Amino acid sequence: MDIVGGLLVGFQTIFHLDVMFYCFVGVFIGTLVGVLPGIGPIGAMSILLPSTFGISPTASIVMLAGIYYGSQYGGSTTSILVNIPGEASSIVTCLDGYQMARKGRAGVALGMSALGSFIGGTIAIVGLMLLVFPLAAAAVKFGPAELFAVMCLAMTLLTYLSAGSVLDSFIMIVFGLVIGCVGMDPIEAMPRFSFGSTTLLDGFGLVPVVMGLFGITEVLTNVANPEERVIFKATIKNLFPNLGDWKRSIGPILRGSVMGFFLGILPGGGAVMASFSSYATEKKISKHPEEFGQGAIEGVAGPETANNAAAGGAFVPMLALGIPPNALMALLLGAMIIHGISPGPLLMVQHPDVFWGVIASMYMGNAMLLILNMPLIGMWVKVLKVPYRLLMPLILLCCLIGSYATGNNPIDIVIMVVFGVIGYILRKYSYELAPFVLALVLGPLMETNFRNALIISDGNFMIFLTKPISATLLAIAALLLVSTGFSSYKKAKTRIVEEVGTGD
Amino acid sequence: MKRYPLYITLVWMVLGIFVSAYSLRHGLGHLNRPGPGFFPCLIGVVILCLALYKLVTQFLMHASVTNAAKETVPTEAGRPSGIGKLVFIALTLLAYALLLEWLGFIIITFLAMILLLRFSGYTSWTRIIAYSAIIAGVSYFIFHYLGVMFPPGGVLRYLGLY
Repeated sequence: MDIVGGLLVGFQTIFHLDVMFYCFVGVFIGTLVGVLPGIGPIGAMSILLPSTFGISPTASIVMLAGIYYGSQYGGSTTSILVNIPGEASSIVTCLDGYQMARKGRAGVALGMSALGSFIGGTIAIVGLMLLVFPLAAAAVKFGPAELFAVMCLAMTLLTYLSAGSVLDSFIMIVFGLVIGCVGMDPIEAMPRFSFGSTTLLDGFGLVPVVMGLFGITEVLTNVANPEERVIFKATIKNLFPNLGDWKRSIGPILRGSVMGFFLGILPGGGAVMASFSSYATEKKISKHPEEFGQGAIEGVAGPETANNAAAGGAFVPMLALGIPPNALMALLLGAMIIHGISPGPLLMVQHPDVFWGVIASMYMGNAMLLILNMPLIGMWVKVLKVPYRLLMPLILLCCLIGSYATGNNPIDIVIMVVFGVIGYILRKYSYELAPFVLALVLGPLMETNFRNALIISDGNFMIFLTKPISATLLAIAALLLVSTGFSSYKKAKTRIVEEVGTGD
Repeated sequence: MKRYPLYITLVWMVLGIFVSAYSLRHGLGHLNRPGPGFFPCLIGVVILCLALYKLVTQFLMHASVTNAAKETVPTEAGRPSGIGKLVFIALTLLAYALLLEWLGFIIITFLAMILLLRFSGYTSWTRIIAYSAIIAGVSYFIFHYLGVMFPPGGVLRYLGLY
């Protein structure tokens, strides 16, 4: 099926009232959680995942995907009006967005953010359509050795690009693989690490674990370190940027779209790195770098476009290879598996309605988001005023319901609380949680491919090095590991020298 | 040396040893037919190696710093703050899990909301009770509409109300 034919199938799929409704619900909730503190898109997707069991797979995936890219729109509103990013990818928007608001240009900042997001999101969808075909065609030829190598590379890239310590990220990946081993062995169906518990026979449920790690951890962190939110009290007017604003922003928007899309594809790259890279690039090439941080519109347009383009780019490895590049995509992959859909190169052949439906829904979702975020901006400003003391119990209740509803089993709530506490402790000591989730989802797939490769090669480990694709991917992973290890060693050495110097 | 990060590293080490050792019970199999314990054993060894490396780094860091400034008092940076609040929330959620099927969704949600709203700073009991009742009722209808099956609770059954 060619792109035009596929898109027609996609639009046919989504022009059903129920799919359109769930697309709207997805982008609406995405914007809402982007605006609200204490609950991110991962939490929202986990909460709503059980409620999608009764609806069609396409509507379900469309809604969950809508939450993902919708949250990128909502995150900027708090950055601009409150100077607190709704999402990590909107941190950089605070720098100039809030300054614009202080100068009475909150409306233009919000408008440019929404329009840039729309353009970035749309360009990313086009890129997604163009790139997913050749990638999926190549991936069909992959055997277990190649798939194992791809997963190794994905995990290595994730640690390589992680913001914190590489060693800690690696530990989190291996911890995720350990937790992924709980339950039935994927090849011989033998129970492992279940300690006689029937609940653990199927392993730890993705939803309770993710809700614990992201929902409960977030609440516990906010309770331990309460944050004062001072909302900017200016009236929001003139949402549409003028010609001068457009002239200054069009370059950053186009560069942000391309940069964001490609960074979104990389495991661990995603929206956060895209927004930071865009900001750094724009500041570097600007004729007026001194205006950055003082309310330069380029500092809003570029990063906000880039984070939305990255959200689109993240779908490429997920749809083409079945390998999620970040925790959100891992959750979406989990949702697809629950609905009986195997993401990967055969997705567009086996489930063209889902594949093209998701792509077509992104066009529609972006248009809905533009309407939600431009004329209805006043509504989101009101949402910002909901006090956290009321939000906190509501978030906890949503987590309780979400984790219970996955299997109608109260033990899932206990699992969620346990992982919430673990997540809080780990986050407090600067361990990143996203690599854990990715490894938890990919673990069983990785093990299956690893063992199958060994079975095929009659126990010869050289299978991973004699196949050209697998050998190349593993060589890249090894190079990244060596370079990461070397730079960590240099960093640690410098830190020791500095600490010795200061006597601290 | 900072104690808490060290404790976490020790937890990783214990986890690595436990996973590797316990995997042996599941059977490692052979290289041409790896058993269910093969992969977990391998990752158990990996996590143990990573934890050992981290431990060595932490000790090296500590040694170099203390050699340079022996009078520096080791700080307890990162000591868990507001631990009582966190324990309260965790216990409330665990109690919710334990009592959910016995009391039923509406009653336990109402009670949990009273506790959490009071904890989060509301002082007026009228407001707390009203909010709790509204949240319990509205959430029941929304999620019930979305297809979530809630337990009615043994209490209602016992009283013949369900």
